[in-house]
Amino acid sequence: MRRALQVAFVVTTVLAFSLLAFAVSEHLLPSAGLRSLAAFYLSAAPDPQNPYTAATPAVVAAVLWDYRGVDTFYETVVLYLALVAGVLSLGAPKLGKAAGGRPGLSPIVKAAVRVVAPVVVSAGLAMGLHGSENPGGGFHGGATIAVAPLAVIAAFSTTFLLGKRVSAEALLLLMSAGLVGIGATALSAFVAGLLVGANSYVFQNLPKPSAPVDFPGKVGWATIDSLLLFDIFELLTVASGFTLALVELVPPAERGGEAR
Amino acid sequence: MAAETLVYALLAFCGLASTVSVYLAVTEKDLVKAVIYSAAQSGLYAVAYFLLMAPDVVLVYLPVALGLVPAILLSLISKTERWEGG
Repeated sequence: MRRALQVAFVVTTVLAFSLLAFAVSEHLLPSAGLRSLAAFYLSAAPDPQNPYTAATPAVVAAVLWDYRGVDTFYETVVLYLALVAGVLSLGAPKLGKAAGGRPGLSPIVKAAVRVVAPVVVSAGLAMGLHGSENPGGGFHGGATIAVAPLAVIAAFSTTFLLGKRVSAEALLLLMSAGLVGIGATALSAFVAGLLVGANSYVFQNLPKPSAPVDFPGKVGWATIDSLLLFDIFELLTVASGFTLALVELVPPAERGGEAR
Repeated sequence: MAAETLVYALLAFCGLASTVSVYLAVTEKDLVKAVIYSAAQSGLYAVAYFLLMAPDVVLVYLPVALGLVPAILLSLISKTERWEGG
């Protein structure tokens, strides 16, 4: 009863503030027009005729990995360093003998996870690989893929996952490879520019008026630009990173469960 | 017009229900239930982002806020105590 009264108080307060906000909304609403920077991104990114185009309808992906790629790179570095620090302080979990405690969840849940986990991985891959053309991207896809090992750990055990040749070392290696890939892709156009003596930039994707070096871009039906490569490497980093975090936090000896 | 009203009504419901979920998550003594309330709040936010036509945010919000964060919080609770003292 007391809880119901408290919830009713919260609802009333929210409604009262909403009414107040509605009453003064005329003075609070932001301008309907776009700010100049937003107008630039929205007009330049999808327009192949624009000299600063990213040649993709996915404007968010263009901002993340083309116009403001350095920001995204440093965000990925933060994730990487946090996970490396976690592994260093907790130590890599080893595949030990199952503790023999809980046998995991019921056979129905296990059967469902066996069916659903590959579907989740496929959806994550599709989300990541189409991120340069559609909503989605490497982080989205990687985070979605990481739900599959989470379901496996919950339904079976960490021991089961580690028994499938998934080790902390391998995950750390994959994560590092992803980060190195992002760095190499970011530097490739710049290094190519240095080699041919042309002006070029770090994180350059397509040619700019003063910097002609670029990725191939549209080749027939395929798009081979830096956005796709960044998405692939980001997906690798995030998927292996989150899986590593889960393996670290739910060590095998604690969960017990079945080993195969 | 009717569709637009429905979108605004759903947004209002998501906003209201998510605030209640946050209140319940903060005041709940059973930490497992608190995590579930928190996940419910995240789910309502995901619907709100979808209605606000921000699919990129939805796609990253769903796996992180409904899958990974509750899982990590539950694993941390399993290392401490389920009930908040006091």
